[in-house]
Amino acid sequence: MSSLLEQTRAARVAERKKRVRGDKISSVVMPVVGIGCLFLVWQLFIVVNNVPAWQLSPPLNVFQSMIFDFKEVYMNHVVRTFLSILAGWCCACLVGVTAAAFMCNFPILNSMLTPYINFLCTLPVITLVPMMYVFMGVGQDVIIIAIILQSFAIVCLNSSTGFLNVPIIRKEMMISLRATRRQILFQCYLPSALSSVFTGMKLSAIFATTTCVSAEVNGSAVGLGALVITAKAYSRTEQMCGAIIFIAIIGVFFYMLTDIIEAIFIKWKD
Amino acid sequence: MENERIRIENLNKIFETRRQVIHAVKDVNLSIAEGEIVSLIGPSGCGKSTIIRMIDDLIKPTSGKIFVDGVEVTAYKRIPKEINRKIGFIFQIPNLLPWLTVRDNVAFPLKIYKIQSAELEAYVDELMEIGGLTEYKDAWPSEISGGVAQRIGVMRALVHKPEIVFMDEPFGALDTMMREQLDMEILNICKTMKKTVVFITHDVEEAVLLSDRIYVMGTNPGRIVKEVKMDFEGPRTLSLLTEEKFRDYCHELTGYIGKVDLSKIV
Repeated sequence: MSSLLEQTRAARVAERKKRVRGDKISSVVMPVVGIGCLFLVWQLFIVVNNVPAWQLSPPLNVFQSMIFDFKEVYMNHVVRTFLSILAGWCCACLVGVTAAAFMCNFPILNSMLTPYINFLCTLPVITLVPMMYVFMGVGQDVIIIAIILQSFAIVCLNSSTGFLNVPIIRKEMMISLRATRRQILFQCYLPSALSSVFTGMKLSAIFATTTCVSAEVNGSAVGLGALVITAKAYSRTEQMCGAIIFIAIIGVFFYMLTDIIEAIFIKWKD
Repeated sequence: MENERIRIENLNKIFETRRQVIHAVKDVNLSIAEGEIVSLIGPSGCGKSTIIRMIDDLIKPTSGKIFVDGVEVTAYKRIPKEINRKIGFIFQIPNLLPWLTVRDNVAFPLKIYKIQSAELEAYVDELMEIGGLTEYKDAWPSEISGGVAQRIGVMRALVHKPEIVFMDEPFGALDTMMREQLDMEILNICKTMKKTVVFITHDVEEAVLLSDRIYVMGTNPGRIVKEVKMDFEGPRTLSLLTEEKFRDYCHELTGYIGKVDLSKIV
């Protein structure tokens, strides 16, 4: 009986390994092929139409610039943008989840804060940045605050949706066990809402990147957004494209980082 | 009643919605002794579940008194801890926590009650063995069948050694064969461990098979219309299902429920 069970388990493990291998091919190789096709079309478009480099740089030039000019041109901007997003996004995730937990525990707080959260979710915070520059001066702190304002609302909205959608019968079980408020939060609400929290974090990673770059475009001297503007002024299209690709890489990095953290924390299926 | 564990006096529950007022439970009086298995049967919406939910403090009664082991629990804002720990609740659906493995789900009440000990850990393993769950101990709830999930729900309700067990139609979603098998398992566990059981069902045969006493409830408003004592000789087994006395009880109870339904239509 037990050997039959072990055989079934082994078969299931083998099947899972096969599926994981298949997933790896579809999730890693295929996107690379897709991106390769894009660059190929881009290169062909330039060659066929004889587009001058000052109008649109060919991808090969862009890659050369990204590799050989990295230390001189890009590094300072990449580090600045990366750190701004990291600081803003981490704060936003922390504040967003905490605020959602409080809002779901205290209905009055929920009623009070919901309009502001909705307002911040729908409003592109970049519209506030010029005002913030006037008020606080141009600097990295303004960019980080803008990222927090934009991303925290997204995390908070998604997390509170997760907290509020905990099945009633699950809450009743906790009440039936006479669990404390703290136990209900940490043993029931938080794990139940975890999937929504991570969805919020992924979305906020995207919003953090766009907000950061937009804020840099608006007035900062350092950062990839600022580099795009500077490169445009000097018709250095290869640097413009290089900066854009670095922005995309940073955005994808934060998105995938959340995916990895999610895979570590959520091992079960609902 | 001797060795009385639960007593309910003039219990009422009224649900008020914007459109209507529903008298879910009206003037219910009942008493349950130690070690008894008592069933509440009746049609849907007669307030069976509402009664045990009020005893377990999941909802507050509109009026009336509930005593558990002589303590008036309705006098407190929340059911006292020492009384709560005497109660185990088995829900209609297994209600497992998807982020915990089967074993952790069974042991979950110990974590909430903060009463983890080597002895209780051994008891968790013993319950897993009794429930035939040992081979699933590291599985996630999403990987197991409905019958196994419900058995986990049952063992979880028993893990803190409650003296009183409420079962709210625990096997309603299972097929007849599985239900009968689980009924017998539960009966054996509760009789061996001398638990006081309040069983909610709308299945007359299930109630007769398991219970020492049955309260028949009626609807609109939810109330007790009849109390029937089951008087079987010898141990309860599935062979009881073919006995004439068993059929007579089922017939009698169906008659009461039928009358209830008729009055509802009139």
